[in-house]
Order: sequence, then C-alpha cells, then structure tokens
Amino acid sequence: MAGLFSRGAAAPVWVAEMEENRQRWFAFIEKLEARMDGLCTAALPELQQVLAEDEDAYKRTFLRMLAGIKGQLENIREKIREVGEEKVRDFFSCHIDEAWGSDDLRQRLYAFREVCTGRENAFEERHAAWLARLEKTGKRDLEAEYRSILDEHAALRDSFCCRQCGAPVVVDKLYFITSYLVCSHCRTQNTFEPGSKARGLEGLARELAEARTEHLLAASEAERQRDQDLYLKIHENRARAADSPATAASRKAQNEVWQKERAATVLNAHAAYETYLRAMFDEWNSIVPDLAEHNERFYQRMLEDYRRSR
Amino acid sequence: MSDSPEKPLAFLRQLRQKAASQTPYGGAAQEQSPRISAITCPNCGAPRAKEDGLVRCAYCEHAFMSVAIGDGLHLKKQAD
Repeated sequence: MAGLFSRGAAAPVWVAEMEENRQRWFAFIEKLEARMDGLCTAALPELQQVLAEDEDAYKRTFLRMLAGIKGQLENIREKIREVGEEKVRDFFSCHIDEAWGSDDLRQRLYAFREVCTGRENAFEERHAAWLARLEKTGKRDLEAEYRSILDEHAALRDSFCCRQCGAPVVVDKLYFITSYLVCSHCRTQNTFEPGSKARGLEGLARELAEARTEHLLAASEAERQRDQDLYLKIHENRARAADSPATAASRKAQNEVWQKERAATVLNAHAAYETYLRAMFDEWNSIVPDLAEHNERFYQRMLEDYRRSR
Repeated sequence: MSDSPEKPLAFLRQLRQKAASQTPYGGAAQEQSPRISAITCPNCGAPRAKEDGLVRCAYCEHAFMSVAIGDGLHLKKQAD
C-alpha cells in the first residue's frame, strides 16, 4: 500500500487525516493481535492443565476459565469494532459526498476503506482460529464416554432384585430416565433410577451422532465452498476490463461454463446436506432408540426449515 | 494487560484461581449409582401392581397420585 495516499498536492485536509487513520488503524490492530496471541498461547497449556485437574463431573471449573478467556478475546474484538466504526466507516461516510466530485479522491477513499476493512477481516479470521483452538482443548472423548455407559449397563443389568419378593429383575435395556420395571414373579412395579452416567446419555447422543457423521457434513461444506469459489471467479471475470471483443466473448463463454458448474454444485451441496442430516439422525436413533419417534419429528422439521431457507 | 509475556500468565493465574474458588450453581455434582426401589400402598401396605397399580392401589383403590398419566417413553397412558 506504499504511496497510495501520497499524491495530495491540492488535496483537502481530510486526505492527510485518512492516511494517518490508516497507519494508526494498522498499528492498533497489530498491537491488539499481539495481545491476543500472547494471551491464547499462554492459555492453551493452562486450559489443558485445568481440564486434567478438574474433578467436577461437568468440568465446570474448566468451562468457567474458558469463558473468562473468551470474554477477554471478545473485549479485544469489541474494541476493534468500535474504533473501526469511528475511524474507518464513519470517516468514509463523512467524506464520500465531498469525494464524489473527484475520481481520484473517490478512488482513494474507497481504497482506504478496502485496506482497512481487509485488515479487520484478517484479524477476525485470526480471532476465529484462536477461538477454535481454545474450544478444542475441552473436546470430550464421546466414544469413550459412550463405551463407559454401555460397560456400566452390561455390568449391572442382572444385579437388581424386586424390592417386594426378591426375585431378579433384569434391566432389559439402557434406561436413561427413571422407569418402571415389572417383576415377572409378583408383578410389582419397581422404580428403576439410572445412574448419573446413564442419565447423561440423552445429552451425549446428539453430539456423538454428529461426531460420527462429521465427514458427511464436511462433504456438504466442501460443495458450498466450491460454489463460493466459482461465484468469486465469475465475479472477477466480469469485473475485469476486456481489451478486445474476442477476449470479452471468451470470458463470457467461460462464465457460462462456470455458471453451469455452479448450478450443479449447489444441487450437490443440498443433496450432501440432506444425506448428512438423515445419516446423523439414523446414528442418533441407533444410540437412543427410545427417542426415535420424537427425533423423527425433529428431523422432519429441520429438513423443512432447510428446504425453506435455501 | 500489556504486551509483556508475564502479564497474560499473571492474568491466567488469577482467572484460574477465581474459576476454582467459585461455587457452582446448585452445588457440587453428585455422582449417583443406578438403584431400584418399590413403593407400597400407605393405606393397606400392598405393593404397586403392574396392572391398574400406577396411580391407585389395585387392592384398596387408594389414590397414589391425582394426575392423569400420559404416554411416556417407557410408560403407557392408563385408563381412568
């Protein structure tokens, strides 16, 4: 960007201010980025240690600490947003009318906004990447948790007796809510209360099903990304000035090919998402078959919402 | 926080201390093992029977609960 704002012989006063704003904006973001990097680099090992030492069943100490760090990151982001509002976007809005009379000034004002917004977007990407890394430290081993629930059930299913007559009562399946079990000898209604682990199955099932089918969601996201890339290619091709009618015709033909590709990609993305949704719910139902009827209604609603929104 | 590498560490130590000292809402989580129990009728001492025994005693008609039972996951609606 060197020299972009340096040709202001008869330029109004705000042009110098614009250059100053740009430089200060870049320095400001760089400083906050360094602060964010420092905090997150130090936080990663600290979070892992807190998680390992947290004896709470729901890891609430770890979650509180993570929330505190995320709050700090959000403060940094908010500061950038506030300053950007004042020094970039408001500045642009204030002077765009003045710059309208001169092509040069207008272009410089637009270029100012573009580079400043670009820098802000780069910060946002970095912020999102750090957030993802921080969240990842608390990633649970859902398969291990599920296995432990199954093991507990297998170990205890034959260990209960009727409270009335003492005959064995078999816990025939994995109950995750309090349920009545009938004694086959005296027909007494015994109340079976599952343990804390089994009670967690309802909450764990969806996450586990999503984890098991994440490759299908990734396939759908890849199609979406391909569509986005094609859109940008078409847009860039249209924006470029053609030096001859032949070039213009060739670009137009190329755009038509990409448009067709885009249409196919969009259809693929929709089909891939619907495949993911079905597979995820099938997996969910296989983990908690008792909720299949309820989940099926949820699936239908999600599918309808998705189809309406696309 | 300034840019000194010690500052984030001091902040994190403070945050960690605070997170550990806070009492969770509802108290500490209680680990519960699975268990089985049975209720007997407070009126006649009979156990709750499978048929017709969920909301009222099948033997002496004593009402265990005054609510109507709907269909649940492992429960079928009972006729009044």
